Amino acid sequence: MQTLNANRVRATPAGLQARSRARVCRVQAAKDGKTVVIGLAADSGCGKSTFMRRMTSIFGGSAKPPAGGNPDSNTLISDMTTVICLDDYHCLDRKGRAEKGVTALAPEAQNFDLMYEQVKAMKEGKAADKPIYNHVTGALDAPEKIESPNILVIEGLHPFYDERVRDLLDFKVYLDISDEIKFAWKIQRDMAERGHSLDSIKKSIEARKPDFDAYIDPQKKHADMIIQVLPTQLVLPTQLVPDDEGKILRVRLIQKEGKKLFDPVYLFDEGSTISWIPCGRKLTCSFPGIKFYYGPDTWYGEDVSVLEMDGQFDKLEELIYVESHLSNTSAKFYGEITQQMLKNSSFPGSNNGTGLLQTIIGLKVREVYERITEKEVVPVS
Amino acid sequence: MQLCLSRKAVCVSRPTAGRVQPTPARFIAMRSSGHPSMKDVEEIEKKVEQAIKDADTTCKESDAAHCAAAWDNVEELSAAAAHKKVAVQNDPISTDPLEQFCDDNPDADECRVYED
Repeated sequence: MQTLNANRVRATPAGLQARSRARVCRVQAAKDGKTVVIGLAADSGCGKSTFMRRMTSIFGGSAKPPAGGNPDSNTLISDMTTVICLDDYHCLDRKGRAEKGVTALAPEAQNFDLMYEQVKAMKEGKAADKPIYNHVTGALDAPEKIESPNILVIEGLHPFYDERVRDLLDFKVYLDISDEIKFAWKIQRDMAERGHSLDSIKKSIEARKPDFDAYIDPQKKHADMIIQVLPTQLVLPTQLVPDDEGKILRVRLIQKEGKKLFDPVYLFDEGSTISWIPCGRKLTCSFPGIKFYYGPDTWYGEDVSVLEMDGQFDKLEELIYVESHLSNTSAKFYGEITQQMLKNSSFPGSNNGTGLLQTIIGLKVREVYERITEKEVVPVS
Repeated sequence: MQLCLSRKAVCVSRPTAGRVQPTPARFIAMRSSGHPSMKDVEEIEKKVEQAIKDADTTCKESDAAHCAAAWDNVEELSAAAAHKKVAVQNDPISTDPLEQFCDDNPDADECRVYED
């Protein structure tokens, strides 16, 4: 995949040279008017951070922890968006949970009253003194003051668990990673760690599964959009090179129908069922290629449309070719999806459906924001 | 196509808008001490190692609930280690000697920034 060598011009060693910075185009939005609240639910190690970065990149600027604050803050702030990690609302810290035998997945470990109070306050334009859960020490640190942003994103294990919090959310996303892929990703993440082995990774997943199934997984029925990540169907598991496990992915974007704030993305003909292999005479792809599917379905009793991509992007031209055949993407100009993918090409999943479909969700978030606030967001270039 | 990139968050001109000059005060305000380092990563990795040992012990000696809490702890620390590593790799100040120098000496000639 071509990467844009996106970075700055370095001062040459010879003589004094000024470093020049490329022109930055960005909308500095004034915080006036409504705060739009987005909820993102996923288990630990499922790509929430990558998704956050893709989403905030649509709105410009880079998301950073509050300047001058606690370096272990989980909050990320950019021009228009503030991302809050719901772990900050743990009412039991690491020690407390160990004593009581409670995992971080259990509702008993969360202060839903405070979560509701503060998300409501920020939605109404007020600042909140939010606690900080320090993931390194496992303790609750002194609160940080968070101003009400244009777009508030709450991400964590329980954004849709409490009904009051759920009702504050304008748009809800759930990342549903299959067991095999979760295992493959955790192996990639942890195997190089001292102390970890295949055995310890397996034990950790198995020990957490009961609470995950009981408390986290059921939230997926509430989401407006769900990304499911599954093993590929293009290649038999036996044919997969170990390095490719967890990398060639089948990714499904499940979109609820009939919502006022966004229109689902579709392929060719809305509401019909399409199976599409873009690789052929006009486009040559290398193994294992790309396969798309689009069609209607139901999700926990509600009508949905599913857009699915299996395989990998190998070249830039594959990406732009695919983008040109998708409809209702909410892109503001031809090639916006490709441009976003290139900009973030160093992120995991940039060559497969996770990157593509997460970018599309980012554009849908922008659409939701524009419909609620009736303001236009100038696309970042 | 122009790219949005900046080491420090500076609002720069669109063709019709006015120019924004970074002021020394702004540079000072942006100089933060909380840069992630490999030392932070190593500290968390040691905790992961210890947590795994604790989990094995807890599962032998205690009930299923405490066993689950112990392994959940391992997961939390493993995730924190992974995030810290990514933060170090993505933070130009931690990885680029020029950026480190400029962070400490924003007025140095080599660190001048020009905006069109």
